[in-house]
Amino acid sequence: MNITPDQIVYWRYGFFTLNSTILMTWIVMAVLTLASWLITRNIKPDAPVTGKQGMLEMIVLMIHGQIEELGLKRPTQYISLLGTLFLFILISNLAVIFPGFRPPTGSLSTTAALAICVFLAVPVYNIARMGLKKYLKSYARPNPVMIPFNIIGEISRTLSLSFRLFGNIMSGEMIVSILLTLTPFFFPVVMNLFGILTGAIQAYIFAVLATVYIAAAGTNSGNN
Amino acid sequence: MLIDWFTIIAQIVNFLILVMLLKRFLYKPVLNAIEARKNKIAAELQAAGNIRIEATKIRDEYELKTEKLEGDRNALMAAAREEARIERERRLEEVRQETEALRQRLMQSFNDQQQTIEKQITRKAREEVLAITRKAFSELASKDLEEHVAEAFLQRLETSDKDSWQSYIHRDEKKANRVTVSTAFELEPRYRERIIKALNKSAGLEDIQPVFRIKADLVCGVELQINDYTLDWNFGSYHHSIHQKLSQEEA
Repeated sequence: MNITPDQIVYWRYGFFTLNSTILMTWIVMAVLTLASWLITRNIKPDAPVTGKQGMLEMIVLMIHGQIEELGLKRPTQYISLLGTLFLFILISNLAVIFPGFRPPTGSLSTTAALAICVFLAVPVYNIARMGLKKYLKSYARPNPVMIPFNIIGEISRTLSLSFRLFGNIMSGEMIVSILLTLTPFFFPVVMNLFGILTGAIQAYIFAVLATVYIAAAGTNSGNN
Repeated sequence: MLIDWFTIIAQIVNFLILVMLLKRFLYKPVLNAIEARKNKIAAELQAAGNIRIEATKIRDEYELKTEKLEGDRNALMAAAREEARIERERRLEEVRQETEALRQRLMQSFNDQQQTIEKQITRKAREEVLAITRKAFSELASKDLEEHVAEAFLQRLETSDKDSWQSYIHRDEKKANRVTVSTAFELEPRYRERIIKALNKSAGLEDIQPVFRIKADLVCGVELQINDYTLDWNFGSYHHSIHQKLSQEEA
């Protein structure tokens, strides 16, 4: 049994590898992009709002509101990254109900990649917002002695972010796989449903933590 | 190995591509649509607010106009009522006057009619009385009564003044005096002689031969006619003179 879908390789050419993680990510990307395009292609300010458009607007506004509630005053700047994080993880985790689909979030490479994106986004957003000097000064708070600890804190929280998501999704898959061998009918279904719940919560937690990390740097500097 | 560096790099790239794709196809159009709708709603609310202000202004103007119109209406109504009252009183006065005039005419007509009826009744009564009287006289009249009347006539004739006859008698020899004695019944000869004698004595007519004739209209009594003068003493003439006198009074 493969712990991570990275080990399921469909095609390899030197360094380039097409494994299950990348393939499933593409599928999720295609689904999200296609669905968004289909729904938003006919949006007009004067046209009446359709049910699908209303649902999409509700999701976007919900993300927008959550970002604002978590302390970022201009949510539109962050919604592309944080909203995409949430939607990608959510769809990946929910798609586990389809047979043969292995969520890319069950791969430590994917979660690490997402954590690295957040890890990089925090300085990028904060430098863009408050300037490089002011951002670097935030590492010396409350005094320069704390600089190494702050750097370690940044790295560790990125690791924790990635391992938390990976552990939850991977463990869910593992439990389902084990249960399938023991009790093939009832328990795997229950665990799959439980996995959907866990996946939604994890998507929410990942997005919320990313938002908090970006907002926290601004708060430390006294300007968000 | 749990971590595949190529996969990590590929996933970072994939994720960034997904971020761009969703920004292009999801967030931007949705947020733009929401913003446009929000602006539209705000503009509509602003327009509605302006319309409300305008409506309030129009309502205030309308209320002012309504109040003014109400005041004008009340004034016009009061003026119309006053005019109607004056007109009503004028018409009533006219009707009252017309009624009074009509009543006066009716009263006049009624009085005239009453008087006419009274006159008719009076005339009718008089005529009836006279007719009855005449009938009574006619029924009472007789030869004996005639003689009594003739006697009374003779006494009157014999006692009359001689001068009173002069204006009726022709003294000219060429013109003969015409004397006619009329009675209702045949007069006794002795009365005829006494009449001739009385005429000779009272009027101075000597050798006069009066014409004696019977005239039933006299009812009872004697009528003496000398030329154009008539001296009579009979019920018929009395009756006639009473009738004439009453007729004159009635006229």
